[in-house]
Amino acid sequence: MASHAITPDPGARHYAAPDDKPEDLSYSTGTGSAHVHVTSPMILLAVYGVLVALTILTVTVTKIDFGADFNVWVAIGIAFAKATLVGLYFMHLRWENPFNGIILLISLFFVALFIGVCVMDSHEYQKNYLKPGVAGRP
Amino acid sequence: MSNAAINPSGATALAPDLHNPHAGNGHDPHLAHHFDTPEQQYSSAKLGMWVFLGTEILMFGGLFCAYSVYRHNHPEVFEFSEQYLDRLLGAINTLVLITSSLTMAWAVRSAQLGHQKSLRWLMAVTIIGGYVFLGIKSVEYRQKWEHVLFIGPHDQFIADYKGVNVIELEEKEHAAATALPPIPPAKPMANSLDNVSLIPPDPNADTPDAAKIRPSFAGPTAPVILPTKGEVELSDLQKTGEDKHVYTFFAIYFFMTGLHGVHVVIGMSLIAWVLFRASGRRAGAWLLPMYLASLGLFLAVLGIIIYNPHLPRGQPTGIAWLVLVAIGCAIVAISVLWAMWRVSRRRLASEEGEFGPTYFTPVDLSGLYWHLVDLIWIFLFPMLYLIH
Repeated sequence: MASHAITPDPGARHYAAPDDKPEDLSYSTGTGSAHVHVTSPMILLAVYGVLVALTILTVTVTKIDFGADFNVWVAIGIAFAKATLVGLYFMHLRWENPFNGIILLISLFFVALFIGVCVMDSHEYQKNYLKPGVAGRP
Repeated sequence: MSNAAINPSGATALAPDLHNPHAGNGHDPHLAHHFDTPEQQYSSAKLGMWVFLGTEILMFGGLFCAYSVYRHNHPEVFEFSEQYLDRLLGAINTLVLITSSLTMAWAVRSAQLGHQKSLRWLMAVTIIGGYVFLGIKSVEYRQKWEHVLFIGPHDQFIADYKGVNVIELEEKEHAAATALPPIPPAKPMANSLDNVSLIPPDPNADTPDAAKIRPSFAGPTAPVILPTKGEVELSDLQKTGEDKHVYTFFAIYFFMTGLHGVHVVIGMSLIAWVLFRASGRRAGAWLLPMYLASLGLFLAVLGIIIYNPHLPRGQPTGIAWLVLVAIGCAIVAISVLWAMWRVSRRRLASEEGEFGPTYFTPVDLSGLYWHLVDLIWIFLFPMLYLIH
């Protein structure tokens, strides 16, 4: 299966050969004869740059205190932004059948449901050991 | 969709012969019998992979649930324990995984375009990134051993584990001079029903001499406790009795990072297999011995990194060091011999790798797995390392 020219087949569906649209950075190649999007290097590198920047941000934002309860949500928020970028661009979800992305979202929803209900439940009966006056707690 | 249509190019014909299923599904050797067209096969494979990734997310979700429940209920334990974790190494690991995700996504692109050489090299760089990640992880685990934070029950924060007392062993090794007084018998609990009294006990009365009391988890020298960098100090935890919950944080830490490490190894193996398939005969002849050699080298380095001479007696890790280094050296030796044999018997390269614009599914799917491993670490890193 070395790379050779994909010659058009009159009976097949139309697809774009690599030299059809030279100005198009993201062009299609054939899996068989269907449109399959090829990610362009610029998009890959741009997403990589943003991910590195967000990683640095994650570390440096720990210096700022948003309040004991909110800090973890800031961290999770930045992690979610990174995960969205990885999912959309590196995992190719942006150019794919949306159902694949829906599978990902559904699993994340169930994880959130799982964690949320368990934390709520444990809050009902777990004693809070923190006594007043300990290390800056009110 | 006529099988009688003449295909002028002679290239891949995708219309299956519906009247005779065994006439061959077009000319694509990768098209399986139960699929009509290659793109149907490809999208089915993608769908199946995404469902599998969903199950992996749910599996880690269970561990994240344990983390969330425990952190919600014992936030001070988490704040204290977090100072044992090295943020810089964790951040470097994050960048390593993100970079390897980039190279893997680029490798998928190369497969789609039929660029064989860049496909192979990018996948090889991805595997190397996985090794770097595991190496940094081993260094971090080594730091844990030095603080007597082992996987399992021999953790210095366990109040009364049965078995070897690690601190006692270290004291014997360093020939501690003074013998410790025996632990005083336990006083009845304040909330015990046998000793109910309306008068609360006087906290100042009968206070034992602090120097004579052995703390619940460590000897008097306790050399392994970090000087506190954070807000929560060990003494704060001891006031509320929370200090014995610190080992649960490390149980969660080791389980999550360990399971993630297993997934890194699985991902690397998948990519290595795909790399082998993507290689022609000449490169393939080199690849298997190189895999073995790299594995052996890694095991030997791992054994050296995690070895800790002060491990308690009976701990498997001490012997595991010897076993790992021995296995590593054996593997390196075998693979070097095999490589020499292959060089002497090298056949001419005659074929390209398996992947190209018409078939790149294994590259795509193993790339998805690797991206999932990266995703999980993206969440693990702030939750474990950046608690403040």
